[in-house]
Amino acid sequence: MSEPVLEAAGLRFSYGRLRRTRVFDDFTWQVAPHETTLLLGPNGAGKSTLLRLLSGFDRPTGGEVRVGGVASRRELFRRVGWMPQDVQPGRGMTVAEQVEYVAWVGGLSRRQARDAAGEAISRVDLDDKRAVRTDRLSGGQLRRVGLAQALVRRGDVLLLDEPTAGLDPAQTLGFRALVKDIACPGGVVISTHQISDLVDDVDRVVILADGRIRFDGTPAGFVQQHVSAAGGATTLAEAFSAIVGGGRH
Amino acid sequence: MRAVVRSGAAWFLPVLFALAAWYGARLTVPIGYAAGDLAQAGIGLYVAAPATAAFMALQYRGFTSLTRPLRSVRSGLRLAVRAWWPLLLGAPTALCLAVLVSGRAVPDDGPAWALLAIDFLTVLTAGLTGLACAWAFPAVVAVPLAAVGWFAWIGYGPASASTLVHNLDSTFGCCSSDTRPAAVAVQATLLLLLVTSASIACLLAPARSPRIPRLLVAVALVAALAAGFGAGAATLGTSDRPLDLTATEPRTTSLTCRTTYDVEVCLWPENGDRAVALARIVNALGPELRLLGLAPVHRLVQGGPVPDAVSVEAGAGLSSQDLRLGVASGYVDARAGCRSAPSAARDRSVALVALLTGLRPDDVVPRLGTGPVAAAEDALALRERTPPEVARWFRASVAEIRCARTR
Repeated sequence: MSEPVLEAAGLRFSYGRLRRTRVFDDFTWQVAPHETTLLLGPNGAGKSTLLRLLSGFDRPTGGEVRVGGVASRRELFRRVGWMPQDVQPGRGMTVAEQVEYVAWVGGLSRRQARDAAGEAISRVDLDDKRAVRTDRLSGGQLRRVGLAQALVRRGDVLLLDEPTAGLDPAQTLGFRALVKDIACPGGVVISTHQISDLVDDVDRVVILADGRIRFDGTPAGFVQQHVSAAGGATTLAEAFSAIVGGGRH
Repeated sequence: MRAVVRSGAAWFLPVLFALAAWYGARLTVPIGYAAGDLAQAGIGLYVAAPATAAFMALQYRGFTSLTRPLRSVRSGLRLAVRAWWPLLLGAPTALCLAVLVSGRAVPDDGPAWALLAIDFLTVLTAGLTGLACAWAFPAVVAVPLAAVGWFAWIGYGPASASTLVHNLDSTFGCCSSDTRPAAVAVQATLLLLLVTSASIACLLAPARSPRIPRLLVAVALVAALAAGFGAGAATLGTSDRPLDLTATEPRTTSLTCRTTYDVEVCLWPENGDRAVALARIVNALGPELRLLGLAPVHRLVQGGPVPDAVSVEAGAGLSSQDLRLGVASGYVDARAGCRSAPSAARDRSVALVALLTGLRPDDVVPRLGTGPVAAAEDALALRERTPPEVARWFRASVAEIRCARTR
C-alpha cells in the first residue's frame, strides 16, 4: 500500500467558547490512497466536522492535519478538494463563471482557472449548462456544480460531505455514477448518514460515532463481521445500529 | 462585461449619474471659477454617497456565504474587488462626471483637482463602507445602516459644514471667486477618507486567507490608524491654523489686469470678459464723483479689499445692474478703508453711489430697501444747488460705517 496523502494526527476539536462541546480528542486517521472511502455515521457523529478539519476549513484545537506529510493549511487548500453539504449559487453567475471564480479563489491564474473550470464542468457532465445561471439550476445540478468546484483545483484528495442528501433516487444514482468515475491519487472520502449509501462502489467503509472510529475495513468485511456472524444482526441497518450504539441514525 | 451586468453597475451607474447631475445642476449657480463651481456641484455627494453605500451593501448580500466555504488563498478584499470593481470604481467615476457636467467646469488649478479627488475618494469610501456593513451585518441591517450613516455624516455630521465634502450652506464663503479651500482642509479631508478606506481594506482583507495571518491584519490596521493619526498630528503641528474641515483661504490665482478708459481693471482670468463693462461703468461714474468733489476711481480689483483700489465682483452670473451695484459697494468699502459690515449707513452710502452709476431707484430698492434709497435720493436732490453738501453727507455716512469681522 502506498503512503497516505492525507492524514489526521492526534486531532482535538471542540465547539463553543464558554461551554465547550468536545468532538474529537486525540483522533488519528489516514485517508486510503487510490480508494473511495465511505464515511458512515449517525447525525452528530462528527463526519462533517472531520471533513471540515481535513479540508483545512476549520482549524483543530490540537494535533494536526498533514497533506503529503506537511501540516500546512495552504497546502490543504491546494491539494484537497472539498464539497460542503450546502453548495451556494453565486448571484447572477453562470456555471462556467462560478466554477472559474472558485478556481481563481483557490489560487489559479485567470487563464489557468478558465481551463480548469472547463475541464471540471466536463467531468461532471454539465457542458450543456455552462451558460446557465447557477441560481436557476435544480438541486441535483447544483450538487454537480459543487463537485466541479471541488475538482477544479485538481487536488490529490476529494472530500464530499453528504453529496446525495436531498436528492431524489434518480439524481442519487446519477451522482453515484459520476463519483464512481472520479479517480484521485490521494483517495476520495464520501460522508453519509444513510446505510443505503453502502454500496459495492466503495472500497472502504469507516463508521464514525461520538468522534471515534468504530469500524474501518472493506464493505465485505463489514458484512462478514457484523451481518453474517452467528447470532449477530441480520441486516446492514441492524449491524450499523449495533455498532454506533443503537437507534440514533 | 459580465461583471458590469452581474454587479448591477450596468443600471445603477447611469441612475447614479443622472441623480447626482440633476441634483448638482439644480443647486449650482455658476460663478466661472472652476473650484467654486465644482465645490457647488459636489452637492451631488449628498445623493451619491448614501446611495452607493446602500447599493454595495445590498449587492454584497449572500457573497460571504458563497465565498466562505471556498477556502480562499486570496484576501477577502481581493475577492470583493474582483466581484465588485465595476461598482467600486464606477460609482466614484460617475459622481465625478456628474460634478463636471452639473458644475459646467473643468479643473484648472490645484484646489479644483483636490475637490474632484475628494469627491472620488468620498464615494469610494462610501462603497467600501457598504461592503464592510454587509460583511458584518445581515442585509436588513447593513443596507439602512450604510445609507443612514452616510446621510447623517454628510447632512448632520462634521461634514455638513465642510466646504469640500458638502456645501449645503450657500452663505458659506467657500469657493466663491475670491476664496478657495484651504490646504489644511484638503489635507484633513483626504486624511480622513484615506484612513477610513485603509481601515476598511484591512478589515476585509483577512477573510479566510491563510496567506494573511490575523496578527498581520491587526498590525496593518493599527499601522493604518497610526499613520492617519500621525499624519494628522504632523499636519496639526506644522499648520498655522487648526486642522479643520471647513477652512478656506484667499484665492491666490494671479489677476489679469488691463487698462481701458483710463481705468485699470484686474480680474480673475475666468472673468476677463467683464473688464470692458466694468471700465465703462467706472468711466461714466468719474464725472459724477468729480462734480461732487469725491475721489474718482482709477483701479478696480476683483477679490478682497486692496489699498488704493476698488474691490468688485465680476462673476459670470452677474447682471449689468449687479456689476453697477458691486462697483458702488466696492467704492464705499474703499472709502471706509475696509470691507464694511451691514448697516443703514452703509446701505445709504452704497445707494447714493449706485444711483450715480446710472441705476434707477427701482433697481436699487429690491437690493437695499426703501429707506436707504430714499435717503440717497434726498441727498442727491441737493446736487444741483450745493454739490459739496452731498459730499459731506456721503462722508458722514461713511464715517458711521463699521468694518466687517473677517473670518
